[in-house]
Amino acid sequence: MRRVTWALLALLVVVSCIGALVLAATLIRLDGEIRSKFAGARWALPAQVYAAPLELYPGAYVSADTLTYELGRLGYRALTQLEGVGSFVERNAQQVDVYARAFDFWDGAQQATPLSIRFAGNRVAAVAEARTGESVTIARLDPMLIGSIYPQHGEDRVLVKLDDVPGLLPLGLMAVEDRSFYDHWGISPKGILRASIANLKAGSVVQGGSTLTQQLVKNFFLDRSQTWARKINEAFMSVLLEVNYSKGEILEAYLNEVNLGQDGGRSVNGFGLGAQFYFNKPLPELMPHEMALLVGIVKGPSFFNPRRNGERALQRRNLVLSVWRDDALIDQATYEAAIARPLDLAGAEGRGVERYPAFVDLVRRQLRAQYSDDDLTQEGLRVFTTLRPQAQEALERQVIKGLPEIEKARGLDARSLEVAGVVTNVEGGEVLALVGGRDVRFPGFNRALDAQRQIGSLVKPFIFQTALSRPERYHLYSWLPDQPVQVKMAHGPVWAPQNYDRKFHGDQPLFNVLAQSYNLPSVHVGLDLGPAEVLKTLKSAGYSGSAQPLPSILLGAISIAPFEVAQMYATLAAGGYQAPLSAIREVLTADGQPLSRFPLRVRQALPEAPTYLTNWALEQVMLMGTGRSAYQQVDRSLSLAGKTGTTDDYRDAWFAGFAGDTVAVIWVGRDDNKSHRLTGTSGALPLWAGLMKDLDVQPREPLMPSGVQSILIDPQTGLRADDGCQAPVAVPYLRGHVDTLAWAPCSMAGRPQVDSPVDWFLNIFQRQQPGP
Amino acid sequence: MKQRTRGWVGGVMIAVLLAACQTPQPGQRTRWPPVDETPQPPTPEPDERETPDRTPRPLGPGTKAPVELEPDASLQQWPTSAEEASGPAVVALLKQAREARAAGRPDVAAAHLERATRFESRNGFIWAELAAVYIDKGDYDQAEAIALRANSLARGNPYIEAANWDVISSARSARGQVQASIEASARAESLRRKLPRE
Repeated sequence: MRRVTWALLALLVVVSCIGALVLAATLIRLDGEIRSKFAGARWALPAQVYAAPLELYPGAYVSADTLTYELGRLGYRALTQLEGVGSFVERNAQQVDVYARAFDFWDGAQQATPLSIRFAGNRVAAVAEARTGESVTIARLDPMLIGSIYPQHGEDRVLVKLDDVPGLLPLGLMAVEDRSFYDHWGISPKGILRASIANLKAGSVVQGGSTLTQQLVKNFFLDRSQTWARKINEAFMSVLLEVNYSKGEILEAYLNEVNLGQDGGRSVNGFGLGAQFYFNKPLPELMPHEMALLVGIVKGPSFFNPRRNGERALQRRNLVLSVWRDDALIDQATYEAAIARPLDLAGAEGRGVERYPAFVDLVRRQLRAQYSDDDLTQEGLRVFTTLRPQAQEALERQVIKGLPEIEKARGLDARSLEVAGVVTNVEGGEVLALVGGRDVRFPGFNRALDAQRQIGSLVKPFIFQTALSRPERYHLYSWLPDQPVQVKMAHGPVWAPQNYDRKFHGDQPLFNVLAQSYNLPSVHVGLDLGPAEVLKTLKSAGYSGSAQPLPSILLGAISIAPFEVAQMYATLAAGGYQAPLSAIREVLTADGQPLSRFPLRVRQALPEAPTYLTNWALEQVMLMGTGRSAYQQVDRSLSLAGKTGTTDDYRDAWFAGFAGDTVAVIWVGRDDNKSHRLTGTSGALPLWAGLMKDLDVQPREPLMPSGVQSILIDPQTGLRADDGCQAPVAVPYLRGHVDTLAWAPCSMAGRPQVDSPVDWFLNIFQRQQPGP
Repeated sequence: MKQRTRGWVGGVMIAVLLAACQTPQPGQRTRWPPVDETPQPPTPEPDERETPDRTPRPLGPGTKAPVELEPDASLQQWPTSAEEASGPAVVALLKQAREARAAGRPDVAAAHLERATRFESRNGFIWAELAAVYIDKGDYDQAEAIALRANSLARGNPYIEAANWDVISSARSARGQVQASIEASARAESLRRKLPRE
C-alpha cells in the first residue's frame, strides 16, 4: 500500500514537473511573442495621403469665404472668440482669425499659431500673428488627410501618443471598461464581479469583465475563437504583458489598437483614426460628448455604429457620459451640455479618409514606381500630394449636379451616363483634382486613368500644330478646302469621312476649321502632312499609346484615357513646355524624415511659336466656334482656349481646354460604349464651363514668343491689311514668314503697288481657289 | 498656296526700339470676326534682341539689318532682380532657397523654388533660379529645359535672359557641347552689354 502511495506520489511529481516544464516553455514562447510584437513596429501602418495645404500669404488668391469653407472642411470650430487650437472666428468679410494647428511639413514643423488674416476682395491682403500683430510672411493650414494606402481588407489607423491624448479619454475609458486598470496584474476577478453588479444595477451591459490588458491581448495576438486554450493563453499573456511593460505603454497600445468600426474593406482602428473617421478632427480637439461616443463604441463597433444605428449609439454615449459624471470625471454642467448635443458626426463628405478614391488611386500608382506594396501599406509613410480640395469639390459638384441635368434635358435614361474629369495646373503639371466616375466616393473603375476612349476632334489641335510648324505651307489664315475626301485604306475599304452636319461650307481659313471643328478640311491637311507626322506631334504632346499612323487618326479614331488627354492639353497650355503630370510632391517617413521628393520636370515637347498659334486658334473655338457657349457661364476676359470632341455615332463627348492657370478635361460617355446622342458641346462643355467658373481661374495672358509676330489681316481675304482696310484683325504669324504674304486689295500698301488689275483679280482668285 | 511677295516698307527703327519692350496686352488683341475693336496699327517687329534663338536670316527685301542697341533708358523699366518683381512670400522663399543652395542642399533649394512657382507661376526670376539649382544638382538637361522655360516667361527681361543663357552655357559645356556652349555664353554677354551700367 505504501509502495502504491509512493508510486502515485512519484508519478504526480513527474507529471507536475512535466507540466511545469510545458508551462514554462509556453510562457517563454508567449513572452517571446509579446516582446517581439512590442519591441518592433507594433502595427503595419498604411501610408497616409494628404492634400496640398492651403497657403496663406499676401497676394494669395484666397477669399474669406474660401478660407472659412476650407476651415470647416478641416474640422475647425467656428466660434466668436479664438479658443485654442482648431478654432476660428469670422470677424467680417475682410478678416478671419484662425488658431492654426501644428503640423510637421516636409520642410520643417509649423507650430500651432493664432493667425489673423485680412482680405482685399478675393485675395489675402495680410497675415499676422493674432496676439502680437507681428506680420507673418507665409502660413500654411494643416493639410487634409484624404486617404490611406492599406492592403485589401486591412486595418487602418492614425497613431497617437499617450501624451497627446486628452486626459479625459483614458480615464473615461477605464471608468467604463476597466475600473481597476492601475491596480490589477492583467486579470481582475474583482473587476469581473464589479462589472456584473454594475450591469445588474443598470439593467443592461454597461461594463465589460475583461481588463483593458486582456482586450488588448485579444485584439493583438489571438484569433477570435472562444476555446479554453485561447482563454488560458489570454490570461497568461495578459499577466506577461503587465510584467514586461508599464501601464502607460499598455494603455497607449490599447488606444491605438482597439477597433472602432468598419469602412468598406478597411477596419478603423485606434482613437486617432476614430476621431478622424467620425468627427474629421484630430483627437486632441474632441469635446467630451465626442470622446464619450468613441468610448461607447468600443463595446460593439458594429452594434453601436453611429452612422447606421444613430439612436442606439446616442443612448450608449449618454450612458457613458452619466458614468463619467457619477465618477466626477465631468461636472454636472458639462454633463448636461454634452447630453444635449447631437452625435455631431462628420458627414460622408468629411469622413477624413477615402474621400477621393480616384485621386488616391492615382497617387498609389505613381508611388508604385518607387515603393513596394509593403512599404506603402506597412511603413506609415506620409505622402504629400498635389490635390487641391477646392478644385476637387468643384469638379465633383459639376459631375454630381451636371450629369443628371444633361440626362434630363436630353431625354436620356437616368444614370446612363458615366464621366471622368481631370484638373491640373498649367506650369507645374500638378494634378489638382480627379474624378473617375459619377459616383465620386466609389473606388471602382477609374475612368480618368483607365477608360481608353476615342478622342474624336480633340485630335485636331495636334493636326494644326503639325501644320503650323510648317510655316512655309500653313498659317492661321491658310484657306482650306471643305471638299469630299476619299482614302483607299490598306485593307480594302474606302474611307470617306464627312462633316458632322454632313454639309460643305466652302473654303475656310485654317483657324476657323478648328473653331468650327470641320472634319473635311482637317483631314485634307492631315493627309497633306501625313498621319505619321500628326502621330509624332501627338506623341510629343504626351500620347503614349501605340496607334498606327492611319488616316482615321485624323478624325480622332485613337483611344486615350482622359488623364493622358490632360497631359497633352497641358503641354499646349504651357506653350509647348511639358511637365509630366504628377500627383505627389513629397514622401516622408512615419517620424517625419524626408524620404523622397517628386520634383517638377520640364521638357520642351512642342516648338513654342507654332504652339502659340495653335492656342490662338483654340481661343477662337471659345469665341466663335463650338466652345462659345462657355461664355454664357464665364466672363470673356478669361480668354479661355479649348476644344470639343465628339466621336462616331456620339459615343464620347469630350471637352479639353485651359485658362491662365488651370487645365481641365471632361469626358462623358457610356460604359457599354453605346451612343448617347451627345456632342462635346452638349455633353461635356457645360460641365467644363461650370468648373472653370467655380474654380475662379485666372485669365490667359499668353506671352508672345520671340518667334511670333502679330500682323494685321483683312478678314475678308485673309491677306495682309493696313490702314486702308476696314476692320482688320491682328493675327499671330511666325516671324520670318510674313514677307511672303500678299497684301489685301483694300490695303494702301497693296494698292499703289498693284502692277495691273490682273493682280487684284489674282488676289480675289487666290481666296476662292486656294492652293494645296 | 501661291502668293506674291511684296516688299515691306514699314517698320521704322523707332518703332523697333519701342517694340522691344512690348508684351501683348489682352485688350489690344483683335478678334475674328471683328466685333467692337478699333483697328490697330501694324504691330512693329521687335528687334533681334528678342529673337535670340533664331538662325540669322539673309538680308533681303523687307528684312531689316540687325540692330545693336546701346545702353538704353527704356531698359530701366525692367526689374533687375527677383526682389523687385516678386511678392514678399516669394522673396522669402527665394532667400531660403539661396541659403539652402549655399549650404550645399540643392534639393531643398529646388523644393523652396517649386513652392515659389506655385505662388507666382509666371515669375521668370524664380524659374531662372530653379534652372541654376539644377546645375548644382548635375542635372544638365533639366537645367537647360527650365532655363528655356524661364526665358519664355521672361517677357524680354534681359536680366533674366542673360542669367538663363549663362545656365544654358554651363549645361551645354558640362555635356561636352563646346560650340553650343560658346554660343549661349555669347548670347548672355550680348544681353549684358545692353544693360545700363551700375
